[in-house]
Amino acid sequence: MLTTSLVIGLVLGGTYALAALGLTMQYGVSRIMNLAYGEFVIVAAFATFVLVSTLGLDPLLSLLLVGPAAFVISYAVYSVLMAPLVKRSRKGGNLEIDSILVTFGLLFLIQGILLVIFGADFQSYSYLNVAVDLFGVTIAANQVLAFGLATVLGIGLFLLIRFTRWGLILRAVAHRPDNAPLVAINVDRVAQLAFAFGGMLAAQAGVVISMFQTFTATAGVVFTMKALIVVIMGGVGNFLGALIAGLILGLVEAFVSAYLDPGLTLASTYLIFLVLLLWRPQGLFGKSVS
Amino acid sequence: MSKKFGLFGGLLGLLAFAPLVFEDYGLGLMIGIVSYAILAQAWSLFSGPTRYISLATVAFYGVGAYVVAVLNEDLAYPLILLIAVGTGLVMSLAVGIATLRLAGVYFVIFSFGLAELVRQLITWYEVNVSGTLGRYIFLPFEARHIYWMLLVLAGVTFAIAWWIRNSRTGMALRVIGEDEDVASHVGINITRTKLLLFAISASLMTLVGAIQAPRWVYIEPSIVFNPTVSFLTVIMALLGGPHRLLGPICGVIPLFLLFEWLSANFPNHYSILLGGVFILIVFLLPKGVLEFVDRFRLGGAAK
Amino acid sequence: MTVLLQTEDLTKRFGGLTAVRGVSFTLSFGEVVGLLGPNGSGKTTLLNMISGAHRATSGQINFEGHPIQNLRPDQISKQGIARTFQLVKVLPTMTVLENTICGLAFGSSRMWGAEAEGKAMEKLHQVGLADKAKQPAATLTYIDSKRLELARALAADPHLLLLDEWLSGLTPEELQEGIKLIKSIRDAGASILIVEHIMSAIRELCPRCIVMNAGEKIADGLTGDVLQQQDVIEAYLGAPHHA
Ligand SMILES: Nc1ncnc2c1ncn2[C@@H]1O[C@H](COP(=O)(O)OP(=O)(O)OP(=O)(O)O)[C@@H](O)[C@H]1O
Ligand SMILES: [Mg+2]
Repeated sequence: MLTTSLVIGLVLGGTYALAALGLTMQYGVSRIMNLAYGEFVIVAAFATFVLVSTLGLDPLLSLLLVGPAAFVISYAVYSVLMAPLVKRSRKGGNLEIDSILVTFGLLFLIQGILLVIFGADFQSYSYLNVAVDLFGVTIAANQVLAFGLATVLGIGLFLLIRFTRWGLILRAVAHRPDNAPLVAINVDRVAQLAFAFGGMLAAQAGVVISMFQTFTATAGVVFTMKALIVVIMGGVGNFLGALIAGLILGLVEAFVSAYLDPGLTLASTYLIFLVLLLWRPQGLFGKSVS
Repeated sequence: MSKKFGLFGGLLGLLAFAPLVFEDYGLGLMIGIVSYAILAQAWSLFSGPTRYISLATVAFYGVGAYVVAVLNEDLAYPLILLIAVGTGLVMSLAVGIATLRLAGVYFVIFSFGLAELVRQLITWYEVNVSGTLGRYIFLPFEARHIYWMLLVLAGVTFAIAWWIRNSRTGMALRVIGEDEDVASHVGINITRTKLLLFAISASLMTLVGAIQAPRWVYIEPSIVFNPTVSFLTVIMALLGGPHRLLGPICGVIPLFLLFEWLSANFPNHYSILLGGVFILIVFLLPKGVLEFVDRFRLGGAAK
Repeated sequence: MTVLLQTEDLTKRFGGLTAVRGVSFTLSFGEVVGLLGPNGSGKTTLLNMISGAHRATSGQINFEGHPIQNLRPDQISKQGIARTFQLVKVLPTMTVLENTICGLAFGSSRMWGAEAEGKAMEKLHQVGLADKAKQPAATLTYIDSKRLELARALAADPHLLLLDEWLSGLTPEELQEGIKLIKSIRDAGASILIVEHIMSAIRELCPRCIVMNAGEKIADGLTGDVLQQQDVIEAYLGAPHHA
């Protein structure tokens, strides 16, 4: 049971980390607190569901379709909904509060659309639902694949941010948005790309999650919450922190659900969040500001 | 001043006759309006001056309803209401102590997930401990009784709002909303003040849920913890202007009727329209919601 | 003279930076002391520790015989310490009168209603803002905002007043007015700690002054003597290179 929980925890944690990376991109770099973030995850899961069940597409292929589509859609969402808010925040508006409110509205909008199309039931499709043996633990192949995907995507993103020019620009904007223009960085453009990129990561997480979990039209809130908690745990704008925090959260959930009760996973998540807020509001890996 | 009081009392008295005039449907609307008026006013009480946008209204509202559902067969009604308020109070204090010392955005996030957390905890408890999901409420109340109780609560809420505005605590809250450094340096205990107001606001919300509960007859967590309640409360309060005493009610009446109409005519697309209207409102307030709020404050101050 | 404020070995670190290092000094009842030093020498940080805005990393602060280094700003304000801020902080959407009432509604005096209004108006008269009492503070000019901040600090009749560069950024005429105003407060018997860069003001207002450099106290004594001291002159002449 111990190793099982460990493996399942890592699988969950990997997807949470992936989801959180997108959110930290949107909040840390674009400064948009996106309360509809989990809806992007869920929409991707439903899109995959449709592609798999109607077109018989392989979920891996759908990852290649849904990801870029999410990028384009998020890019458009930023242009239509966020850009005007960013613009007016320069004239004294408060971007944080405005973006929270607008994305709160967006949450209901997207959820409403999903409910109309898919209803309120749990959905899933069967994919690689065969048991494999991993370190003496019997686990579904789709979970192994999900973990592998989350790891590959996560590490890929990490390398991108760490070693490419674009990654350097992202980090510059995340840490010093005021100074970035001094070194000829177009902050607005970077913010929009980061938002779109974050949306793409959310969608990828959604596709990966749909491979091994059931989902409903109203499940977005929980994903937003978890991603937010991971982001705060890792320190806002800290990509490596989000990765580690995501894994921690996944492990805690797996153990709580194995040893306590599956119904208490959200409560345990919350508890971690609370303890963290009281103990280190700057995040586990954030720099301490005295 | 006493003239205003007279007017206020007179208005409430007049409203008390509504059940004699309206049919069931009309009375249902009145109940909805009065409920949201209380919720929006209670929300504004705390979130207006402090700018801590709370998305947790339904967490308290739902808890109020649930307390009634659990206890309705065992205890006298007034006692149940008392326990409901107490539960809301304890819950708000616990949440407040944990989050109110932190930056506003953490509070928003926490409040955002609070309803979901409470819903899951209650579901877990009902399934694992009490073994029932879903409860019946048998209380001998008709719509008009509920309406009258809500009307009294509305009177109390507005009186509290009026009293706080004119009290030292009200000024303390305004100072906190403007500049926490100044607030603490003139001797305001910031955490205690926020906590007090959050607790008052949450207790009122809990009461609304508790009083409304008998309308449902059958209750389960997914019914009472409906996130649109939090959502509507925020829009109504924001649109009406949370800094004016009568602001929240100004937002409640048009929006409640609008959403009532939407849900009657487009029941399947209700959530979509709700989201759309909300986004529109944030965009229509030209310089951002806070700026809009502040304009009213400046206007008030200049008078 | 009895001691009003006493700091002992007061230190504040921000991460790796030690902003204030081992500063000890006393201030007696009715005394007006100048605190000067080049930019970044730790004057504001020292004031912040006294007013409770920053918790001291180590060391002690005694006020009227009680340790206050572990108290919050609101508790310290109730003990009778009031301050102004280097970057002026008025409450923009509240009226000038309301801003002043803030100063006496919550601190040591806890006045309210007509009494508070009367007292606040009195303070506004003192700083010359009475005719603007009903205006929102956002409409004030820079000097008037500074006046208002002073009125708010004075409102509670503090036992100790902390001024952080209250005179900076004023035109020469405004400066003369400002000095006159502080003089009148001083002559009424107040105890004041004045952070200031303007030498002429220090000379005129403070019989005694303390000089800080790079977080440490480098001089403490009669103003005339201190300003002659070699290391003080060097600290100031050296300042532009560091700034
Ligand atoms: N909150 C803070 N976090 C980190 N460093 C700080 C903080 N406040 C002050 N410092 C640093 O502490 C040092 C002392 O700053 P302080 O503001 O006390 O100087 P000062 O003497 O008041 O200067 P000035 O004359 O410019 O007002 C500076 O190096 C400053 O950057
Ligand atoms: Mg300074």
